[in-house]
Amino acid sequence: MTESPSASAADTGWVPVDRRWLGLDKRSFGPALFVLAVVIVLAGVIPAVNNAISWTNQTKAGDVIDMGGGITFAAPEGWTLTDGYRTTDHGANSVSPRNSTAVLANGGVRIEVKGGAWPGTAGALLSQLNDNLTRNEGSSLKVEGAPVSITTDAGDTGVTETYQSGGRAGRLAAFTFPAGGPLSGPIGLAFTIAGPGTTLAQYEPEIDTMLRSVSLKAGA
Amino acid sequence: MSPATEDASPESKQRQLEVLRHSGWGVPFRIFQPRNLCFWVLVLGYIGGVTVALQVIRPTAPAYSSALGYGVVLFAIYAVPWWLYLSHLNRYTTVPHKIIFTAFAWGFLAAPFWIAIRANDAILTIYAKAFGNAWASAWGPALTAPFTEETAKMLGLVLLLSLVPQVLRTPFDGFVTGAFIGLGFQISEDILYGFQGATAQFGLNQGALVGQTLVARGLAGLFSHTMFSAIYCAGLMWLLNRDGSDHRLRGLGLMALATIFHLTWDSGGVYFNHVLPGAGPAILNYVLTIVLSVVTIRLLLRTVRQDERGWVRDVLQPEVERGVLTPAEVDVLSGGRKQRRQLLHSVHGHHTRQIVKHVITAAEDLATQIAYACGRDTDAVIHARTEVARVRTGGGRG
Repeated sequence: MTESPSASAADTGWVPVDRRWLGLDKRSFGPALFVLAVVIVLAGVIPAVNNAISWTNQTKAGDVIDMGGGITFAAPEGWTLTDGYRTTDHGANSVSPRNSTAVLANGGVRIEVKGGAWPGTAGALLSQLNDNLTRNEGSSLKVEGAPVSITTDAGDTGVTETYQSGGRAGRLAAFTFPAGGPLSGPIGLAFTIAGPGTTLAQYEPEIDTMLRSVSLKAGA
Repeated sequence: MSPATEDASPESKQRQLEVLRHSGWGVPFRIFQPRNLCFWVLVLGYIGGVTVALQVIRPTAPAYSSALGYGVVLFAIYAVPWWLYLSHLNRYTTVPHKIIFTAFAWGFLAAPFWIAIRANDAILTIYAKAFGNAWASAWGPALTAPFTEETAKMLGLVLLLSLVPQVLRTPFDGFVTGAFIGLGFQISEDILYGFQGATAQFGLNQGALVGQTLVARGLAGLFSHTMFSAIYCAGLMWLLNRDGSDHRLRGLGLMALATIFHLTWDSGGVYFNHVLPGAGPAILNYVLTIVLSVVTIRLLLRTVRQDERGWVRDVLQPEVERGVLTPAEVDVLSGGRKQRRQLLHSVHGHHTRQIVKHVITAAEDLATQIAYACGRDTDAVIHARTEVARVRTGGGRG
C-alpha cells in the first residue's frame, strides 16, 4: 500500500525551509494576525474609545436614587451616576431591594450603595462590611474610632464609621429596614465611600446630607 | 469466522483511502508547534486570560472565597454530563481529545477574560454614557454579548484551524470544537456569576446563593453558549469552505442565526425592565428562542453527521468484504441507537447479546486503528482485526 492520506506536515509542526520567516511558518501569519487584530479591536480599541468618552449623567439638585421597594436617598449634586437609577428614570421600577446597586463618582471619590437581604441589625451589617473589608484589604485597613449612630431625617437610625486603607480614606454606613409593606423581607442598605483623604474630607458635608436622606417610603 | 478470509475489492479500498484523506480522521498532529504563529497567539490568549481573571477576582476573592470554591466545585460537576454528552456526539470520525481540551481551555480562559469581559464592560459603559443607565441595562446585554462573545469564542477555532488543518476539515469538526469552546465559556461565566451573585447578602449564605445561580444558570445553560458556539463554528467551517462543498452562504446564515439566538436569549432586560411590559412578550421570546434553536441544532446535527456516518461506512467497507465485519455491524457503527437496538434484538440470549456488544466495541477500535494507520495494514490494525474475531467466538484466546 503506497498511497496514504497526506499525514501532512501542517499538523505536526514541520515547515519547509522556503516557507519560513524568522523560523515561523508564513502560512500561519494570516490567521494569527487576524485573531490578534480582532483582539486588539475588542479588548484594546473599544475600551480606549470608552475611556475617551466622558460621562454626562450628572446629578442635579433634587435627584433621588431608587434602591427598590420604596427605599431611596437624595444624591449629592454634581456627581456622576455611573450605575443605578433616579426615581424619575424610565425602567427604575424594576429595581429589586434585595439586589440593588447605585454608584456615584466625583473627583476620585466613589460612593457605592448596595441593597440586599439582611436579617440583623444595622450594627451587625456594619461589622459584616468591616469583616469583608478586613479580608480584602488585609493589614493595611485601619478603622478610626468606634462606629457612631446616624439618625436620618425620616427618623431611622443607621451606623457609620471611617477608615484608612493604603493611603486612601473611606467611610462605611449601614441602614436596615424591617419586612413589611413593599418589603417581603428585611433589607440592609450599605454605603461604601472611598477616595483620596483630602478630597473625601472636602465632600464630607454633602455625604452627611446624603446619608441622612435615606428613607423608606411606605406603600411604594 | 476467521479474519481476512477474502480480499477487499480495489474500489472499496480506494474509497477508504479517499475518505481518510478527505476527512482527516486519524491524521497525526500536535498542538505544540513553535513554528506556527497561531500557537503563540494561543499561548498568549491563555496567559492573558489567567491574568485578567486574577485581576477581576482578586480584589474581592478573600471575602467571597467560599462562593468561589462552591462555584468551581458545583460547576465542575455540572460540566461532567455535558462533557459526556458532547463526547457521545463526537463518536464518529472523532475530533481528538487534545484538540477538545485546547478548545475548552480557550473557552474557559482566553475567550471570556482575555477578550470578552473587557469588550463587554467597555461597550456597556459606552451605552450608559450615550443613552443612560436604564437604556443600557435594558438593551445593553443583548446588543453586546452576542457580537463580542461569539467572536471571542470563534477565534479559538480560527487558531486551531491553522494548527491542525488536516484534522479539522468538516462542519462536524467545527460543530464539536465549537461546542467544547462554548462549554468552557459557559462554565467560566457561571463560576464568575456565582462569585458575583454571592455578594447579594453582603457575604452571608454564599453557598446558598451560588446554589441559586447554579439552578438558574444551569437551566439557562441548556440553550446557551455551548449550543450557540456549535452552530456558529459549524457555520464558520462552511463559510471558509473547508469541506469543499461550496455552502458558504449556509455558513454565513448559521453564524447570523447563532448571533440572533444569543441576542434574543440575552434580551430579558428589554422585557423585565418594562420596555415591553407584561410577561407575555417575555415568555413568547424565550419559548420561540428555545424552540427555534433546538430545531436548528437538530437539523444541523443531522446534516453534519450525514457525511461522517457515510465515512465510517466507507472506511469499514473493505472489512465487510474481507468478512471481518457484517453489514449489520457497520450499520451500528455508522448509525445511532436505532441500529444498535435492531441488531441486539435480532439475536437471542444474554450471552449472545454480550458477544455482539463486544464485537461492536472491538469494531470501533478497528475503525480507529485503520484511521491511525492511514488505511495500511499495520500490526495494530491486524491486532484489532484479530480481536474482533476473538470476541466473536465468545472471548476465548486466539
